[in-house]
Amino acid sequence: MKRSIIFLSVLLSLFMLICPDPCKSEDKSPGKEGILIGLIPEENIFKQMERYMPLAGYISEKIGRKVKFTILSKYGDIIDRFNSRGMDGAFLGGLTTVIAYEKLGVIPLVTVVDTEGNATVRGHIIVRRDGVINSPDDMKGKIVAFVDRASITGYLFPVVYMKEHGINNIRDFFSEVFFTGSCDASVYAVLDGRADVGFVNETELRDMISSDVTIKKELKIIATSPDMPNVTLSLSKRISEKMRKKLLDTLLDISNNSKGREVLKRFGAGGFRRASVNDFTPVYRLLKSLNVNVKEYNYRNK
Amino acid sequence: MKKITFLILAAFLLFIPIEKSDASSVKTIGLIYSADLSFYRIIHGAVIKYLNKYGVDTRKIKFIRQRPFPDVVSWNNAARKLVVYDSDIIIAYGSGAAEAAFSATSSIPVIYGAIDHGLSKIKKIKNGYGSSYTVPIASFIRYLREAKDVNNLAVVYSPFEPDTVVQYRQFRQICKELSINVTGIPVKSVSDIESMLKLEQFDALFLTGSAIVNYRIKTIYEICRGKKVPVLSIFDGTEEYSLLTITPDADRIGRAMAHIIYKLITGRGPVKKRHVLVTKTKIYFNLRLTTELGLRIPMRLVTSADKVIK
Repeated sequence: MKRSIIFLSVLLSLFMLICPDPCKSEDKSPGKEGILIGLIPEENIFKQMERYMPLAGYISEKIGRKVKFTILSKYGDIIDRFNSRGMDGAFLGGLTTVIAYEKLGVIPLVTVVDTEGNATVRGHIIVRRDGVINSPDDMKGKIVAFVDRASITGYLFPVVYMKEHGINNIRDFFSEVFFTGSCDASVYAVLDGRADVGFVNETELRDMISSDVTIKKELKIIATSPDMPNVTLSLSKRISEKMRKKLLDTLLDISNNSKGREVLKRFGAGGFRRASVNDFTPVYRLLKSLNVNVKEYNYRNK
Repeated sequence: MKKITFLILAAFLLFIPIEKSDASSVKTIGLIYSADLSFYRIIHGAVIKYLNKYGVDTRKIKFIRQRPFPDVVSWNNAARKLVVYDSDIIIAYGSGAAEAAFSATSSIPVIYGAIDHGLSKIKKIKNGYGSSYTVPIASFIRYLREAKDVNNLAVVYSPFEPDTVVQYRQFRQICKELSINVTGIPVKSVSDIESMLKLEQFDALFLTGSAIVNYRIKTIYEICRGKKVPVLSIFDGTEEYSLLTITPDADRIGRAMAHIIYKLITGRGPVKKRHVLVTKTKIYFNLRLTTELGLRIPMRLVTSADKVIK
């Protein structure tokens, strides 16, 4: 199965790299290189592609350069391959932004604002409503479906939560631990009975419930994280100040025109907000509670 | 002096409690399958595996196996026979066999397996122990809708197997929320199945965890194939005939049952959890049938199923 996921991810990445240019022909002129933006696998990759493609077209048109997105198979791949794949930026989660900032020196540019005007997101720990889990103690010997070690919602927050409840050795406490690679896959693992405990951010869960009413009745939230920064676009230091400003203005202004609003609608967001390193204080706080130095944080799934 | 030491030592040895061997504490285990189904056999294989793992020499246990034809009379006869044979413990697979065993005895411990958790009354029975399961009924419908558009679904269950009635009600409730019509097909005997299914029109057929129903899986498959509709099933071993099988983890059910049996036959402490719920499932997706029936391929199933039949 892992092979299938990897195969699909590689296929999609290739597809996105070779897909037709959504903007005008002037972007192909010599000397004007495209901008490659990496994406973490937030959800089903086909669904994610549908969301991001119009945004790529919109930005390309506004900045006069071709913008391409590439989805990586794992959260941590962004860190490992940012330089080798020649990425100019990436839409990252809270934890990957902090790791990329510390390790690669990327600069946070804008944070996604959801349709309700929030630039923050919370994570939920979920279980089946008809199951027997009501507290961390009930989780002993159960199966847990983490998302990715480089995810706040899907790993860092749950680990901190468990530590606060006296669970220090996760591998010993649970009978089985696995990583799903995306939030929706963690939810489906719980829904399908492949896992007893799963993790999801509230935006993703809301989307899933809106497309399937039965999900709400099947799941129970047993803990919720503090507010964490939403998905943030960070840019490489290689990107010029001028281009950074262009991108910033384009994204901050997106909700002020009808075409931009249409793109946002398909993207499932209300707009963007200027990001700063200070926004990520809650992430540093979680890492500190585990006594982990971010530069030494092991973000690779075992 | 030596004599006194010897006497003290002998007296001391006399009072050391000698633990009985596992096999000596039990003579006979009666066994009833609600039908001769591979799902029950897989669970029982796990029971034996874990009993041996816990140090019980199962070769020294006398198993009396009953695999009656799946109907109420046969289940009752089989259960009574096991009581007459002085079984120390009765293991019953499926709610039909378990109900018969509970009717036949109120003193011999009955360890049930492969029964839906929704059958709550079983947990109140004095001599009842065992492992129940849950299967995510909504997931069946979710994946099915990714494969094809559905308006009318049918559910086969048996009024003689009460947990299957619970499953039918759950299925109907979920479909109601999704505005999908559901036809319940209550099967009282194996011979009913063919004629009842032929009468109904539906977009897909859900097989509950009924021994009576699953005993005729091949017939059901042939009828549905003729109608060009997929089958959804719960029991491990039916995946060749079913588009989607979401089955309780037989190994975990077997392990839970084995632990109870081990405690009962060795007398090593009380059985702390008399009723163990198994929620872990396995998903089998039949890609071959999807293509054969001209259905859409749910990509999530291809990537997350435990087994994809090509």
